[in-house]
Amino acid sequence: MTESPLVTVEFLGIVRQRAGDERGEFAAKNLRELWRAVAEQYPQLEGVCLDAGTLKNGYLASIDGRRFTRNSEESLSPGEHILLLSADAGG
Amino acid sequence: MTNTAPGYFGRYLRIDVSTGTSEATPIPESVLRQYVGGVGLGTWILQQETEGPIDPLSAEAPLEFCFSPLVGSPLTTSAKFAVVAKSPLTNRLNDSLASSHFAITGKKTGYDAFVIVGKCDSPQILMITEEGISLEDAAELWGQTIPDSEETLKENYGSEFRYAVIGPAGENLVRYATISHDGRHAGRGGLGAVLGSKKLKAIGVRGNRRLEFARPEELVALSKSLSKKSFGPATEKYRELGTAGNLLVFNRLGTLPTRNFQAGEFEHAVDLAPETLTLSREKARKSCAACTIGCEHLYPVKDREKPVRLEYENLFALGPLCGVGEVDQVLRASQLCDELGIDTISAGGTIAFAMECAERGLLDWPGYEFGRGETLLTALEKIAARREEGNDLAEGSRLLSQQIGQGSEAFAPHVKGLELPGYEPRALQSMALGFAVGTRGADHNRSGAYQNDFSDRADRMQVTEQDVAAAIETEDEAALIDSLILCKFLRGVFEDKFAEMAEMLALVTGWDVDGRKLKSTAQRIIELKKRYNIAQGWTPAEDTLPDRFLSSALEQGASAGASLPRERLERLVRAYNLERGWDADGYPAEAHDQNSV
Repeated sequence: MTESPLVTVEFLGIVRQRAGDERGEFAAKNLRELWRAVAEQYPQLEGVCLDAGTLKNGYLASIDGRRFTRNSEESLSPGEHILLLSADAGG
Repeated sequence: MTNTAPGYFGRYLRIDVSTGTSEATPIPESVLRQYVGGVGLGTWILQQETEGPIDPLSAEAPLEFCFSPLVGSPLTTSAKFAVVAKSPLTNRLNDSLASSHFAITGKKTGYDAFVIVGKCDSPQILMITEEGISLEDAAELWGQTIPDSEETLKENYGSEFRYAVIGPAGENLVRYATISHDGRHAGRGGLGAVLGSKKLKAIGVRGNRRLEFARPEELVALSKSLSKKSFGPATEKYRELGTAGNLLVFNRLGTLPTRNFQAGEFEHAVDLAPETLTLSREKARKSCAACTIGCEHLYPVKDREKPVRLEYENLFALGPLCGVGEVDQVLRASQLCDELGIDTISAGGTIAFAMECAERGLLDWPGYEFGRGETLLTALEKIAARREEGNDLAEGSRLLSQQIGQGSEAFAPHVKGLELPGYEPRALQSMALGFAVGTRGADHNRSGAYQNDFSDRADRMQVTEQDVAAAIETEDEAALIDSLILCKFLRGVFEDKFAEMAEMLALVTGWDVDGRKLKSTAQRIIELKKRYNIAQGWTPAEDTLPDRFLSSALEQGASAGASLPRERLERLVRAYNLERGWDADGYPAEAHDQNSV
């Protein structure tokens, strides 16, 4: 059985406020697994930005700070840095 | 009074301060249906009141305060007014919004707008009531800061008046001076200088006229529902962190303009972020008049009695953009801008530009180095007083770069003379398009194209013609929201923005209006703005960005390598023009060689 890659999730903005933490490390093959793992460690995020392995509307993931995605089936590679943030950039 | 739809009075008050006279001027209901109110109506009135190219600081230049059909209704965030005039900073149309009780009280005088022309012989206060206008001597106030002026006005004339006030910057015709009320500012484009050029220190309004709404019970029900939604997750960021919450996010994504746009990340961002500030300072929260969101976050400032309202744009422009990472200096700089009546974005942009010029040896101004907070603070005071180098800085980065020459125009951070807000255009390329084509210059409030960049639909560093429609959609939304007028922070609570805003307008006015019609209205308003600019001398060459953004890539951070080649931006602008139904250069039909609106 293939081991799930280890990735870092960095919480930003309102997600960080809710998580009470800046980042965490998780093993997950894709974003769906990752969000489930994040919700297990930070249950307070379920219903805020996460919803049963998906991102709630208004939230985005950024792969290494360069590309945004909301696709839960997206595969993850070892060492990737996933930013979890609100999509609202109004200022 | 004109028989007109509920929500309106069907007239504007035209005031000539040279003669101290005023006249009610009817507004046909057909015009209200076409341009709604706020920015749309203001642009239409400006067109009526302007004959050919005009000097924005001349006596004949009109300055307007425009209300909207929703002002005075129970709809959350609707207590807003638009100030519309030709900008002394851009020489193009400028519309600037503020939220406050000035909007409600001003509308209750019985007018949909005030249009001010002329010039007083000495400093005056213009008082507007249901009974008429008067001019009061303002010698005592001239030179006072905005908070001091507001306090003096309340002492002298009582609190039943509401005031829009300029600070020393407006008096001294700083090209990016603000008009302010109760801590809120019509900030961009220098309309405070237009008021100052008329020798008006303040405008006081007092009114109690009853406002009518077509379907009041349904309007109250809708208002309650909207208020409830405004407490939800869509506005959470604004309630908990405020707009300043953008700082760390933008820094992490490499989109935080730093040291006059030489970088997209700032090493002291964490020190300035609200997440850090709240650990050591007790902040307070406030709301605008008639608002349920409450996005204002006020932080104490060292050695100062009063706290300062902190927004992302203040923070970015007076912090990273100038390389200043000492939090108390940034907070004090923001407070100084509020007190003196200076737009924080243009001030920060112009000072950052001067710092880069000095570091490159193009200016011999001691102390102008990135990171020098004391220089920043002194510069702001000199700008407001137009003292020493402050007189040059008061002109804005475009005119300053023309004065300096030596290639500095390439990195003067403006479009059409308006300094860029805190969105790095090479790394947010939908926003780059929005900046380039904006009728008031580089602006994040008239185009929300960054919404496309912050989505999984676009590659923010490689935007294509496929993204143009999304950028246009946000510009249309903004035109409508600014004409109704509502707060853009409500955007996220709507499921179908145009349809839901149509419902509000229908309940207020009784009109048969739907989302499709309002979409056309928004496009009509955008086109009218464009036509005004054409009449004032706009050319297609203005719809671009400074050379820096088109000839060099970002070097560090998460957006390292992001570049926006000139040809790409030109393709996007051309696609934008065609999508709008204009010709490829951006002229609406029959607008070529137009010399009057």
